[in-house]
Amino acid sequence: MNLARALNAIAGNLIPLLNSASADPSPESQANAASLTRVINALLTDAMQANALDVEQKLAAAADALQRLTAFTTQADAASQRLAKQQSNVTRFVSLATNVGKLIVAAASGNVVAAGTAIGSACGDLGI
Amino acid sequence: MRFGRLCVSLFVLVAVALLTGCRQNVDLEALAALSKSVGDSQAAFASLSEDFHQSCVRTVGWQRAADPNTFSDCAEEARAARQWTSADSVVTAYIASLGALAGGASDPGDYGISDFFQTLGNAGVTKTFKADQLKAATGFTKSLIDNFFKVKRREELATVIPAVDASLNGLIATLKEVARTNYVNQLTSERTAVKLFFEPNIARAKPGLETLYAFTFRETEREEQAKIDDKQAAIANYIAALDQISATHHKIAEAIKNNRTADVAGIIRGYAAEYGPDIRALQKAFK
Repeated sequence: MNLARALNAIAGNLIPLLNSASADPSPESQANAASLTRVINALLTDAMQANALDVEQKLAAAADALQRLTAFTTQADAASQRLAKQQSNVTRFVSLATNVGKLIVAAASGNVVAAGTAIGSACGDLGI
Repeated sequence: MRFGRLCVSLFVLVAVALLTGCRQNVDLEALAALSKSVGDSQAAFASLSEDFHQSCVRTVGWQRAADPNTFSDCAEEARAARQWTSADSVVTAYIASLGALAGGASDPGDYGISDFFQTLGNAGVTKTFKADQLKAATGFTKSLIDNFFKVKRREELATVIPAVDASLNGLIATLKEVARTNYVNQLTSERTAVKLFFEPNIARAKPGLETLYAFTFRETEREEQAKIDDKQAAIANYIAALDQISATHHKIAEAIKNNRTADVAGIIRGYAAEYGPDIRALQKAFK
């Protein structure tokens, strides 16, 4: 049983005592009830804090697993970005080849406007 | 001429065999589906882990109602809740990254191939394709390029998934333990605080009108305890959802290690059928 659970159990066990004290209207019993309320409250506050610290300790113990997962997430993200970029490079390459083809066709037929457009598009593919 | 065609046919056959033979046991669409369902559940996970702090705030409210001198800012609980939520996010972000690597929703189109073939025809490099020929040639070339990248994606996934399997399972075991013990402890504190406020007041009630009021007081206490019951019941859904992520990932890792073709899609279909109800139950408990 961890500390938080033990403190919770003690606090819970005091509730019937508090109820008995509260049911008795005598000043002494009411004073006891007020004291018990303070004790139970303190136990609950301590239980919650001990419990929160236990959570932090458990997660700290899992730090290696967390770091490894984070590292592989970064690796997978980088790989997916790299592949997406490579796929877009294929599109750019095909587009460049297409525009060069269009330029050849336009030059062969003496179509200056089409040739200019093709050169412009090819420059765009090259990022110029 | 015939020799050239034969060479081209052989090249295509070899390329297709290579592209379809490697690491085909990682089903990209199935992995993308797994990633989407886990991604959708991130908010449901966070609602449970953040309630670790919210429960403290509620508890302090009841404590102060019983004794106004009580004070706690729940700072430690807030920090623990943030760390728990972050650890949940590490799991969901990892699965999301698998989905992105599997291809996600990205559609590269036809890479401009149909335009390219048309230009080749216009330039006289090839014969001019008819519409159906152009479609077939474009489709074939696109699928060759797509398959090339799918193989790359599968190779990356086949490296990552088995390497991470033990760490993912270890982290999930910790998250389950936190939910099963620490969140339950927190809810137990909250239950006691609810009793601390209601029960002495009910016990103090004098015969007559006060006893009558005590009935409604008791009913309100039951309602408050029922809210806590719902949250505690949701822990089972959180644990079941994590178990399913862990088991599914482990089965995929084993399928990759043992090169069991076509296992992955079946594994994920089984997972999807069971995962959804737990996430919906979690969302309902914390709406």
